Amino acid sequence: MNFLNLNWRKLALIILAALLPLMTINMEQKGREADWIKQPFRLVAGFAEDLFYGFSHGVRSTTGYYLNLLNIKTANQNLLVENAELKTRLDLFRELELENDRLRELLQFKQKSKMELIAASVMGRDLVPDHKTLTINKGTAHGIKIGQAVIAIKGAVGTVIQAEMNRSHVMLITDRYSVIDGIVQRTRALGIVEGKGTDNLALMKYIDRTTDLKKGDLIVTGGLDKVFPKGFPLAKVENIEDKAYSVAMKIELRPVIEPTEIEEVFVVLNSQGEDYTLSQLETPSDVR
Amino acid sequence: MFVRKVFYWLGLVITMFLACSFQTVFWYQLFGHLSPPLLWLSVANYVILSQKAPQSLFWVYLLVATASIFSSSSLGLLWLVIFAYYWAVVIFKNNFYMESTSYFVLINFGGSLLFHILFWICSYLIEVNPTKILFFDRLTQILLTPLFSIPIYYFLKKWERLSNAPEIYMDTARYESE
Repeated sequence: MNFLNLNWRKLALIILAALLPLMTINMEQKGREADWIKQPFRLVAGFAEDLFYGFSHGVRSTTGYYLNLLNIKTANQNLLVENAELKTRLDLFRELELENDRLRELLQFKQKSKMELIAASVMGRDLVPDHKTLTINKGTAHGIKIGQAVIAIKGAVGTVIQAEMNRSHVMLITDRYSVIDGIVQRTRALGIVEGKGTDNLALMKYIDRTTDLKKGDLIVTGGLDKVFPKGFPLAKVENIEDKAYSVAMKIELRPVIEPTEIEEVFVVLNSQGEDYTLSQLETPSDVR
Repeated sequence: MFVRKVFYWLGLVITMFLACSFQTVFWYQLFGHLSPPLLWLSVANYVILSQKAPQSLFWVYLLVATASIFSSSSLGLLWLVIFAYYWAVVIFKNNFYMESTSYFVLINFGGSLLFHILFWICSYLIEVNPTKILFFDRLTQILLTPLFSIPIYYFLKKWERLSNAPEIYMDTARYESE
C-alpha cells in the first residue's frame, strides 16, 4: 500500500479534492449555488474586464487609426493634389469666363459703334510714379498714331503719347499733362478737364460760378478735338469748391474708368464723328 | 580688350532692359498699381559704385536713356536728375566705401530717397506742370528698392566675373579714395 508513498494526510487531501467537484456539481444541479461567494470576484472581474476592454479598444482604435492613417495620408495627399488641380482649373475657368464676358462686351461695343477701333491689352505702367501712363500691346504696326484717343466701354481712358512698332504709351486723363475738353452732361456747360496728377483725380476748369453743378454729375467728352467721340463718359463730379473771390469753380473729378480696373482698351483710329449725345442709349446705364 | 568691354556693357544694357521690363510689366501684372521697386536705379547704382568717375557718368546716361524708353518722362529731366544724383553718390563713395551687399543696400535705400527728392526739385524747376508729392508711391519705392537690389547686386557681380570685367577695369579700380 505504500508504493504511492501515501500517508493519511495526503490521502485526506486527495479525497477532498475529488469530493469538491462532486459536491459542486451536486449543488449546481440542485440550484443552490452560493452567489454571494462569487459576487466579489465578479466585481473585480468586471473591473478587470472593463479595464482590458477599454485598453484593447484603445489599442485597436489606435492601431486602426494608425493603419488607417497610412492609407488616409496617401488618400489625403492624392485628394489635396486633386483638389488643388481642380481649384486651379476652376480659377482658370472663372478667369476665362470673366475674360469671355469682357471680350463679348468689347465685341458688342465695337460692332455697335461707328468708330474705327482697335482693341489692345494693358501691359504695364510707367517707370516712374510721377506719370500716369499705361503701356498697351499695339503700336504703329497696327495703325496706332500719337494723339489718338483711348477708350474703354464705360468711358474715356486717355490719349496715345508714344507709339512704337508693337506697343504704345497711353497718358491717362488723370496725368498732370492731360487736357481734354469736357461738357457737363446735364447742363451742357463746357469746360476743360485736366489731370490732377495725384489721387487718380482730374480737375475741371473754366466752369462759371453761376453754372448749376452737383456732386455726381457726369462729365462727357466735348468732341471739339475730333479725337474723342462726342458725349462719351469721362468722369463724375467728386468735389466742388466754390470760392467767393474766384470767377470759376474748382471742380474735382473722379474718372469713370478706374486705372486699376483697366485690362482691355480700344484705340480710336477714327472717331467718324460719332456722337453719343444723340444716342444716349449707347452710354452705359451704370454711368449715367 | 575692346570686344570684352563691349560684351560687358552690352550685358549691362540687357540687364537694364530686363530690370525695366520687370518693373513696368511683370510687377504691374502681379501687383497692379502698387509702386514697384526702382530696379533700374539699382543697376545705375552698381555702375556708379563699380566704375571710375567721371567716365562712368556717360555709361550711366546710356543706361538711363535705355530706361527712359519705359517712361513718358522727359529724358532731359531724367538725365538732369541722374547728373545730380551721380555726383552725390560719388562724393559719398569717395568718403565711405565698402565692397559688400549691405553697403549696396544702403546706397539703394539712400539713393532712392535722394532720387525722389531730386526728381521733385528738378520737376519744380523745369516742368510746366510739376510733379506732385505722391507720398505713398514714393515711400513704397524707397522701402522696396533696397530689398530688390540684393538679387541685382549678385547678378551683376556674377556678370562682372563672367565677362572678366575686374580684369578689364583693373586700372579703374573702385577704391577711388585710396
